[in-house]
Amino acid sequence: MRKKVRLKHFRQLFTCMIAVAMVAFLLSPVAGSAQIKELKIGIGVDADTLNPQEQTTTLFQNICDLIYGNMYYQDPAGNVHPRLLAKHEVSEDGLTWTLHLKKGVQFSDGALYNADVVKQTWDRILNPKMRVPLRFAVSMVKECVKIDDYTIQLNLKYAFAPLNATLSMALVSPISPAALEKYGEDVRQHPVGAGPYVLTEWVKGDRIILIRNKTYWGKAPTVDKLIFKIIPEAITREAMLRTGEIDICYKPLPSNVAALKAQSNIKVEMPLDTRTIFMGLNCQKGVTMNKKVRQAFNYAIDKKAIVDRILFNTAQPMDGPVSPKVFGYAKMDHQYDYNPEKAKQLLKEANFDFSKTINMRTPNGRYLFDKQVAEVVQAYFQAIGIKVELRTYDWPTYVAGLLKPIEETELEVFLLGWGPLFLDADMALYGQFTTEVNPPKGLGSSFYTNTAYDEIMTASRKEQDLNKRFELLKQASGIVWEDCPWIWLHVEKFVLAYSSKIKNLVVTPTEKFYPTYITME
Amino acid sequence: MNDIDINTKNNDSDSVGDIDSSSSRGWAKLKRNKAALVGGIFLLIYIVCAFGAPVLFWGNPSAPDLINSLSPPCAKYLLGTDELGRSILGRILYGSRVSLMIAVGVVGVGLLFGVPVGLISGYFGGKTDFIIQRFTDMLLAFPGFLLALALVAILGVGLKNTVISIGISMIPIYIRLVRGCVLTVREEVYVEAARASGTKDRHIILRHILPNVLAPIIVQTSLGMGTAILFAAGLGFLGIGVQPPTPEWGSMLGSARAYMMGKPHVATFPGIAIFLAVLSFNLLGDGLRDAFDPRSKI
Amino acid sequence: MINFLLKRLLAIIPVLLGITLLLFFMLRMLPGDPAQVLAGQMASPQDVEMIRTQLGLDQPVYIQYASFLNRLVHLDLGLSARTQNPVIQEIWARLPNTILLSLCAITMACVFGIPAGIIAAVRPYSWVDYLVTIASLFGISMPVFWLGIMLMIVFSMTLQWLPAGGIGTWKHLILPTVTLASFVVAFIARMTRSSMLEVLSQDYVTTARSKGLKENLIIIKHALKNALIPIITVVGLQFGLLLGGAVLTETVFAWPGLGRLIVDSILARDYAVIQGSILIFGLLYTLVNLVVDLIYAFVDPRIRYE
Repeated sequence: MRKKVRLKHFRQLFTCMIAVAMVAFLLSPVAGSAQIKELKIGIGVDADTLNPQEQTTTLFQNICDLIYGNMYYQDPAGNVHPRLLAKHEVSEDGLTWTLHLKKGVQFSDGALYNADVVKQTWDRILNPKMRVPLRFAVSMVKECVKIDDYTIQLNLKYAFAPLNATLSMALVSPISPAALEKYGEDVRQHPVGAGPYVLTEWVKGDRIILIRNKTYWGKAPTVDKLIFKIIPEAITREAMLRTGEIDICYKPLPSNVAALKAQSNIKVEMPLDTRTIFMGLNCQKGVTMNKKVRQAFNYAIDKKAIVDRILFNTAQPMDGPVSPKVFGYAKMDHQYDYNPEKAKQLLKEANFDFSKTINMRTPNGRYLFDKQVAEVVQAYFQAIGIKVELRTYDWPTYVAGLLKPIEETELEVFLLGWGPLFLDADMALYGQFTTEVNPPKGLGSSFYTNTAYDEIMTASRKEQDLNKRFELLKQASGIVWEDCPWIWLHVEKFVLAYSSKIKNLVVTPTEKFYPTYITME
Repeated sequence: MNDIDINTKNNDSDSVGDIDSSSSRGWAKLKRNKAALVGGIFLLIYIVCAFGAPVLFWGNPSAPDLINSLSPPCAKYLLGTDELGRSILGRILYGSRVSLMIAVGVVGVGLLFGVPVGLISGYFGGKTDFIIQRFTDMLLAFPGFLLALALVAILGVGLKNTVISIGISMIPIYIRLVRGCVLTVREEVYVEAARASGTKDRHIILRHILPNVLAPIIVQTSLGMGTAILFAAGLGFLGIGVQPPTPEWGSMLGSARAYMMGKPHVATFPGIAIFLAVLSFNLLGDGLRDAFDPRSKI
Repeated sequence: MINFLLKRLLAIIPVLLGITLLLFFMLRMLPGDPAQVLAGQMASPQDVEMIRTQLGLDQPVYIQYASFLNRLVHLDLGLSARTQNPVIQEIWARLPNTILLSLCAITMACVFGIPAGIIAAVRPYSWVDYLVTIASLFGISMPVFWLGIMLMIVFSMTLQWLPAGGIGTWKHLILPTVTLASFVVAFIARMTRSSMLEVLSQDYVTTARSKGLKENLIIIKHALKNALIPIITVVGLQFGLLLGGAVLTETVFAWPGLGRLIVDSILARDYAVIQGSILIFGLLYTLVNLVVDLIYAFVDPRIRYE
């Protein structure tokens, strides 16, 4: 009896659903896909700011992308697509970039998007009084000039070929001028942009909620509401994915990836990242000044074992100075395979002083199992008779230590990760190894300096021809690979675990994911 | 478990100057207390582990063996290995040194500052007492673990700073405890007599007062060591305790969290080690209290 | 009563001053420039300069302290170096969660601890007594974060009965509350047991028994009422332990409270937030002790005149 009633209800419900679906089908601009009410995403920390110009953490740049949209969009394959920018032209000398804005775009508060807004954004970015931690990424831009209502011009200090990919960063996304007027710098708490989503609720330490921007200029998102739940403990996050309390688990622990993969209702995606993890070696101070010592260190460590046993294959050993995902990557012919005998021999040739204790430092919890990786490196050193003292630091102290000039620096061997924010080798090869970025001016804390290398890198920035530029980057890679300012450890993978019902989730090598147009079974 | 009634009123046992006989009675009581005996045995094992670690475990507890990482208990590794392939048994044995060092260090800091200040505060009274007590109030206004956390935030991480931070958070407890005891003892006839006969204050404090407040101090020391281990483990768990690769139980448990799903043994054994060490101090502390200081309650 | 209340409130003032003094000097004990420390490592020189003028670092220390107090009175705890938000806002957003969790835990601890202690005391050396004694020893000796994670693995991951973390429904409260309450329950049970044992051996209880009063009545009306004072003291004192345990419990169960905020701030060297949250914890604890004293006076009127 009861069953019958239920069945009847079901049939009614089903009919209703079909009707609703049909209406939705007719009304929705996205043909064929049912609207998804909400999606819960478990993340580890709360955002400090949602002002894209201030943000340095990839995850929150990701959220900024959803709120503000991007000028350009770089897909996982590295191709650049128009978004808030329609197209651009570059002058012959590469010093003038003319950007054509997309027309008919509104911010979610109704403010108009035009050249004035973009110019204001650039003025804010370039204003040294503003807090823009990633300003170095656009340091080539001298000024922004308005041409007409929908055209602006960027004048550069020096030619910079991958500027188009640079424009895909959240760093250059415009904030609604009306919101800036209303909130001032407090806009970091009240973000308003022209992206597919709008912030509706931000409960500190607990959740960030975005809803679909009804006036979004592009294709309407398929998910109405995105709930970012802040769950600091990774195991708790994984547990919640298993229990279905969240749909997407941001960066589960490498140690649990295999267990999660075994679950039929969970899908684990882990594309190779742009971020390389390395042990920086001070090239201008201490025992690591000697190139042979630096090479010996590279032979002394079994990177494959680290990737396999410590990171559970959520990384792969470096075989060139940059991630395979970026433009300019080339696999190096010579590899520093694990060879403790060769390491000892090189150290002998370099008259290495085994009585001295080397200081090694690592952040704790910043990168995948960073402390453990450092502990293993320490043990490999000890295995060939090198004394090493390891210290962990909290992140702000660690960064302060990295930025000290050569006279003050205490760095000898230090673990660090470096992940280009777009798919080009420039940020890694230029941003880590040129003389110009030696601290305190940059974060090239290995203090590597090589005139020939600097010249090649400068030339690569001017080169507009892709093939020629690639050759230059490859040449530079070869030099630095040979000189070993780093112990080349591994390239991380970006691990994202989610309900297997979710289809078409975009996951990028720059550690971003876009649930905007997913479908659900 | 408890053979004797915790709350027997034995006013007779702390009669004037009769310290020796009351303490021997206490010892007899302690020996009859099975719980305390169990605690004492655990503690003995623990201390033997701490001092005998190099004898009990031949290898290097910090030497990784990546091929055997996260191995479950087996013949080669009795308690299995951790994420770097280090013997968990070795790390627990060597970890007992670290935690004993922390326990002794912390209580040492507490005793070193708390007892003299408490004695002075209670004995002299007046303005000195007032100032010291306001200072104690100030420290006691923060829950112990939070005070230790705040101090670590200032001093930075590491074994030494862990000990100092937790130690400071224990000082006010000793001050209060000692002062309270002194206040009751101060009015006793024999103290009055000593004072009347012109004995120096220092002499009175050391000879007459200190021995009479020793019992609660000993009890608090035993319990305090348990607390110290728990606090240090808490700091280690939060990643702001001692530095790697020092095998500290709390940070072992902290890193083991990542492997709890698939390889629970990595977290279980350090967890048991912490639990047993704290338990033994608590059992012994309870026994000591029942035997020597039956009037106090917590 | 009013007199007592006033006296007790007045007595808090030096404690409060002490707390502020300690926190004031906490920052100055750090190596380096306090303005730089407060602004954080990533701050621009402008930010640092602004804080320097605000703190009045060029003035004598007592004036700095006075202006520190003045800002405190106006609930101005400075800006978070990490989020650039007023610290008071950051705290305000999390304080209710910590209070909710602590209150639930302390309630649960009393609800289970007091009856357990009474039963153990009424039947000393029975199996119930031993059970309570052993269980409470376990509770006291167990690292709270370990217990929390094990509960999570059993009840959330394996059995899937309860949510593993976060806030929301009453179900989210269960595991953190149980974890946090575990060792407080133990303390309260022990205290209740010994306090009850003492009272039960008193003359008036014997008298009551000889009068032929029902045992239940004796226990509840005569014994419990008199045993309550030390129990309340313990509950008050345990609240401090509870707040400390909250730091660990909140971390394990993703509970967005003040404890988690402190840990995050320590890891990010966000001293303004550390200072502010420790201050709030201090105030909270002082407040609890005040309430305990007031309950005392209510339960036992004699205390007022002491």
